[in-house]
Formats: sequence, structure tokens, C-alpha cells
Amino acid sequence: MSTAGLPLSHIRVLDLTLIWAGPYAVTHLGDLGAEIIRVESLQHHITNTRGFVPWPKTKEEVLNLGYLGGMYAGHEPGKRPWNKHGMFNGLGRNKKSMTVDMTRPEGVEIVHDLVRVCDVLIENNTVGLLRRFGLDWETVHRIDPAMVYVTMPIHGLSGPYSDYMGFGPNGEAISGALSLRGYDDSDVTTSGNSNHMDTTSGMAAVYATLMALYERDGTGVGRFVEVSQVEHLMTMIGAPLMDAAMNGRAQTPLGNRDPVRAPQNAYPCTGEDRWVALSVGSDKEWDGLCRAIGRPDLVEDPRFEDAASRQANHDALDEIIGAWTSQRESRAAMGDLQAHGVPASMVANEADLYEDPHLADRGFFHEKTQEDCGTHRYPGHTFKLSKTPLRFDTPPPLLGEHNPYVYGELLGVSSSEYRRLEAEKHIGMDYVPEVR
Amino acid sequence: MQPIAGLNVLDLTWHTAGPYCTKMLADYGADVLKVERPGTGDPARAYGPFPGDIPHREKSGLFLHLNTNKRSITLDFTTDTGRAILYDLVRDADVVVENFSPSVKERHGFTYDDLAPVNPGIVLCSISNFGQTGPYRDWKAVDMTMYAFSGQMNGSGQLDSPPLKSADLLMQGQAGSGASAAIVAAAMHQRRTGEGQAIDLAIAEISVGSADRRMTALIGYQYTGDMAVRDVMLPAALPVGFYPCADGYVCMTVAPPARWTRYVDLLGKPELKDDPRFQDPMVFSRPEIKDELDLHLFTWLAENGKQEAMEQAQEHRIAGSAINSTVDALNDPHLEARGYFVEADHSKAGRLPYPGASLFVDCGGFELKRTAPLLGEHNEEVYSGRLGMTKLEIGQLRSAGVV
Repeated sequence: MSTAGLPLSHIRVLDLTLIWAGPYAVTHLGDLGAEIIRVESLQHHITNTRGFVPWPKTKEEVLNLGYLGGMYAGHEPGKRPWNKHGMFNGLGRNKKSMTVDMTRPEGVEIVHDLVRVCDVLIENNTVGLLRRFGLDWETVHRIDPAMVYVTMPIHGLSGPYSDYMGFGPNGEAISGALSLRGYDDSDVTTSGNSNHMDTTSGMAAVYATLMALYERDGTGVGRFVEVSQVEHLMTMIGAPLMDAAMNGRAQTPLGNRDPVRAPQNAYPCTGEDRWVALSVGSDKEWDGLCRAIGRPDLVEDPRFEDAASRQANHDALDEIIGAWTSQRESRAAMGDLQAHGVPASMVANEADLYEDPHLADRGFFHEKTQEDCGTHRYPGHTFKLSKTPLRFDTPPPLLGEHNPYVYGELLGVSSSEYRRLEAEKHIGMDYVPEVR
Repeated sequence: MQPIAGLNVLDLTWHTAGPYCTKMLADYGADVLKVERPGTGDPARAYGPFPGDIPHREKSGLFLHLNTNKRSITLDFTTDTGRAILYDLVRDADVVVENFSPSVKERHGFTYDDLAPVNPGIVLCSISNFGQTGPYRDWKAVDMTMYAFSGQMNGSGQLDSPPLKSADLLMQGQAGSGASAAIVAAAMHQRRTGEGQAIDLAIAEISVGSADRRMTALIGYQYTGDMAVRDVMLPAALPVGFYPCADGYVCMTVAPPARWTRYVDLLGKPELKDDPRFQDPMVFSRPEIKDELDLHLFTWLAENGKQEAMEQAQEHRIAGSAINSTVDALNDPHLEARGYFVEADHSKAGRLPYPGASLFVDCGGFELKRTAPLLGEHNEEVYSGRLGMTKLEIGQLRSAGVV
């Protein structure tokens, strides 16, 4: 498909990312028109990328992998389960997949050839891993001085923790963000897992990559870009950090409440485990809430006359509001509250979002058919551009699906050479038996 | 030179999501002019924290953090005179960023269709709760209700308790971050083609797509009909989550099964390596195995503080991390070695450390050139220097309440 006219239609990306943060970043570059060449390997299944384990054989094995691990289309592993896992596929739009074994010298040469025809190399591997494959910045820059090289070290490239292992939740732990989230009457072990840093880092990588490309468009010079994940997450918890700096205070979680806005909470609705979240931050919104719940008398109630008194009597308010919400369906409660100017939302589940009239009106979901998964509605774009609308051209790629294009067209490999690389298991669409 | 040096941004944003976006632009080189309402300014100035908890519009920690490297003017652009001045400023800007609700923009004449005739190359970035179109477009929201709408809150916390909100203002931050990326993309297009455009970023959509990796849960539901439920961790015997230790808590992520031998070494149980039960990777999904391994884990954690546990885990190449408070983070030795917090003086708030560089581009990255502006600090410079107004004209605007 043509990407002509999109902001990154002149850009080709060498995608060496894994798990979530890196692939999420790359998804956005593809949306903006860049051609994405995802480098994979038949010899190495990367945990948590195309599935948590390489090759579940039966539906029972899939179900044993739990909610996230078992996220295969139809819970069926099929002949090639690695093409069917939701974690990879949710971020798979507009990407091309090629395979090569970089642990052999010839594989490294092939990737170096790809470096020559790409504009951006992006990776979020363990710090230093790519050096083993001759894909460190110095080597890449020598091969292609115009390459923008983006790396996403969790703790940055210097300092005592620079080689520490970590996933999203580890970074949230170090940053202080985790300490701000939780129930007020319990400890962090009950707050449930959080994976928000992957998303903040991914978007930061998009921004940093675009900045480097913006600069490169002017100068033609390749750039080294470091996205320091923990440090970036910390820019999003600025106020609590400034409180630590100004007052030596370590803020602790208030559950769903807010130090200023009251009432604020999630309230039970009809049905099993259904909730509506609402928040009142002004007298006007308080007035709206009282009317929405059919209690205009409360406007005059001295217990709730201003923000401070509503905060002081929050427990009593929770009971009054809960009495109203518990008689209502969560979507209807959301509508009633919004009609009265109260910030509110149903605590939506996945089904709610696929059925949501607003998201439907905005065309958020895209129906796509992928060979091994069938037809599904995929979540879509993060923002809309009026003159250069983001694309959703292709569904998540099969492992090695684009080998003929990448080897044949991009690298100009002859058909006899292609067959040799196939026999030597650089090229293929199945993991080698040892990976099982 | 910073990578987006020279990008000229007119910043009409307020509160958190918009100012975070323009902070990112300003911190990496863009020239950001913040337009505040006369009198009170950005409402974030009224939000804490404040030094000593004493409110002061020039000392809000939220505002000071979100408005580094910007200049500030005051302008009431809801008046005809104010709107004319706004258009003058739009004329030589590359980008306008705003986060009003869509109807406000229509009422006061700064939709894309209003601004394009003034400056055909203008990029207008609108950040809003639900987007510029659709049935909810004028609905209200706060960070928690966006987390609720995203679907992620339903899977956050414990099943026997209400769904739990996210930390601080993370949905707002992520929305601002997405907007900054969209702006640079549109600016690239503008520089190549001369064509401006409108960016419509809905906090709802960026949250539905990405709050805590939400995209994965959504496609998972499409694929399987399964929905995220609160308190469902991986039913694996290797730790994933948060665990108490001698002086606090640690986060452990031991991705099965490749880390197995490192993990048993860390726990001081190397004999388990040769135990035939653990040769099959599927064994780690069995509950009785989890109970057995948890006993070893909790014994080890009880003997170690969070910093020691982290150091030992990392020596064994296991992803274990201390769960820091914000005060711990402020004093963390690694962040200190990297010089993350940058100390700077502010004429009213004094000397404070600010979160600093997180993105590095080798041509020049983050710089703290100036701390957050005082309300209207750059009125003189902009009205007289840039727009060429006389003292008399500025005085008239001031007495009319426009400035």
C-alpha cells in the first residue's frame, strides 16, 4: 500500500524491539507512514513477545498459561501459535516480518545490509546485547552515517544500575510511581500489577525518534537517541516529586480519593462487579451531582457545603452516592452524571469498549483478517491527523511473512541464494525444532 | 543544537495534559510562549504541592514542574481585541497547542478553520478528553475517570475491593506525550510541504490504546473472549509482582523459565537446578510448585532490605527492584550519579531540584534554560518586542483587562 504523503513516508525502520515498550513505539512510526522491517529469528523465540512460551501444542496447554500467556486466537495454538498471540498482534499493524539468525556471521552481514537501506534502528534489548551482533551505535554509524539509532535502556546508559535487569513494573518501582498507587488501607502487594511504564516509554521513544528525524531532515546526519525509561516516567509524577523536594514528604496512596477533589471514588452499580467512577472538583459539579442523583436537598446540607466539608464527610457521601449508583447500570449512570456536568465514567471492561458508541463513531477499531487468526477488530490509533491520516494497512505479520520482499526486493538476493538461506534456516516461517 | 530548536509554539494549554506536552517541546528546544488568562493564570498555579503547604501562585510544584523553559504572557482571547492579538501571534507560529473542550474553541474563534486563513502552515494540536467529534466530545473527565473509561481500572486492584485508580496524573501525562510526538510528525510534514493541519488527540483514545498496555487486553478479548480481572497475576511459580522484605517492598519479575537457574542460585537453593521436576517449563504453572518456591522466596526476602535485595537479585541477573517512595527516588544513588535532578533557582520559589533529562539526542537534548515563568513575566518582551506595541497601547490593554 502507498504511504505517500504521510509524515514518515520517506522513512524505513529496522525494528529490533521486543515485548511491549519497543513494539508500541514502532507501531506509531508505522502508523505515521514509515516502512517497518521487523527482524526476527527462527532460532530464538523471545519470551513475552510472540507468546510467553515458544510452542504450546494443545488448547489445554494454552489455557494453563493463564490470562496473558494464553492469549492465542480462539485459545487454539494452531500450527504456528507464534502468529496468534495477542501481545504481539495487538501491536502488529503495518509491520513486516523477516527472519535471520544473527548468531551466525552471515546473519550479521545480512542485518548490516539492512542497516544500509534503513533510516532508523530501534531496540529495547538488555543494555549491550546488540554489541554482540555488531549492531552497537559505533558500528552502525560507520555503516550508515545517516542512521538514527534509538535505544531504550530502562535505567539509562550510565550510573550504578545501568546494567540492571528490569521490566515495566521494575521501573515503576524505582521511579516512585508505584508508591503512589494503591488502596489507602493496605500495602502495595494488593495494588495489583501495573505495566504503565511500557506505554510511557514507548510513546517517549516515538517522540525522541521524531525529534531526531526532524533534525536529520535538516542536516542529513544520523543521531544516537537514548530513551531512559525510569527517568521519563518520573517526568509524569512531577508534583509528588516536587512535594518530596519542597517538603520532604513521601506521598502515599489514597485509594481512589484525591487530596483536593471530593467526592471522588468508584461506586458499585447493578450487575456483577460493575462500577462507575466519578469526581467532583467544584461547587458547580457538586450541584450537578446532587441533581443527577435526585438529591437537590444536599446542596443546602451544611455537611457538604464546600470542598473541605465534602472531603471531611467523604464516607457519608460515599454511602449516599453508592445508594444511587447501586440501583443503576454503569453505562446509564455515566450518561446521567455527564448530562449534569459531572466528570464520570463507567469502569469499562473490554466488551464495553468494543460496544461503545463514541469509539464506534470515531472509528477507533479496525477490522482486519490475518491468515492464522481470522478476522478480528483491532484497537486503533492514538491520535488523528486531519491532512495526513494515520494508516492501518496490514494486520499483524506472520513470522517471516515478508522474507520474499525483504530479501528479494530490498536486499536484491537472487532466487538461488534465497533458497540456500532458506535451507540454512535464516529464512523460514517456522521456529527450528530446538526452540520447542 | 537541541533537536527541535527553532520550532515556534504558541501554548494555550492549562492544567496538566497540555502543559506536559509543551514542556516536552520546550525542554528539547522549541520556543514555547504560554498564554495565560489575566488575573489567575493557569489553574495549575492553584494546585499543590506548595513549600510549607502555603498556597502561592508562583510556587505550585505542579506548575513549576510542568512549565520549565516556557515564557508567559497574559491575554484574554475571549475578547475581540484579545482574539486579534492571538491571531497576530498565530501568524508567525509553527504550532498552536490547546486543551480546551471543543465547544470553547468554536465559541472563541480558534478552531483550525479559524486559524488556517491566518497561517496556512499552522499545526493546531487539540488535546481533549474524548476528541473533537463524537457523542461524548464535550464530556468532562479527570485522570481517574479516564483510567476507568480506558478499561484498565476494571483490572486494577483486588477483586474484593473497588477497582483502583492509577498513580497521580498518568493518563494526562501520556496524552501530553502522545501530543508532543504528533506535533513533531506534523511539523516534519509542514516543513516538507508547507501544509499545516489539525491534530485531534483524545485522552480517552490514547488511554484505551495504552493505559498499562491496554491494547493487549483489548485484542486478547477479541481473540479469546477473556477479560482482565482484578488480582489475576500470572499463575506461575516464579515471582511476578510485589513482595515484602525486611524494610519495605521489592518488585520481582522472573520471566519463566529461562531465569530458573539464576533464580535458585539467588535463593541459595542451587540443588533445585537438578531436580527433575523442573526440566519441563510447563511445571511452573502448577499451584503446589508455587507454594514450594514461595517459601524459599519469602525466607530470603525476610533477611534483606529492599536495596540489598535489589543488589543481590541484580548480581544474579534477576529483575528485582526496590519499591521506592518519592523521597527514596529523590535520593536514589543511581539517579544522583546520573545527575537526573537538576537544581535551579526560581525568583519566587527559590532553589529546587527538578526532574531533568530523560531523552538524549546526541546533537543536544534536555536543557533547563529557565524555570517556570511568573504570570505574565514576558508581557513586555512579547507585546512590545514581538508585536511592536507602544507602552500606551499595552497600558490600554491592561486597563481593559485583556492583558
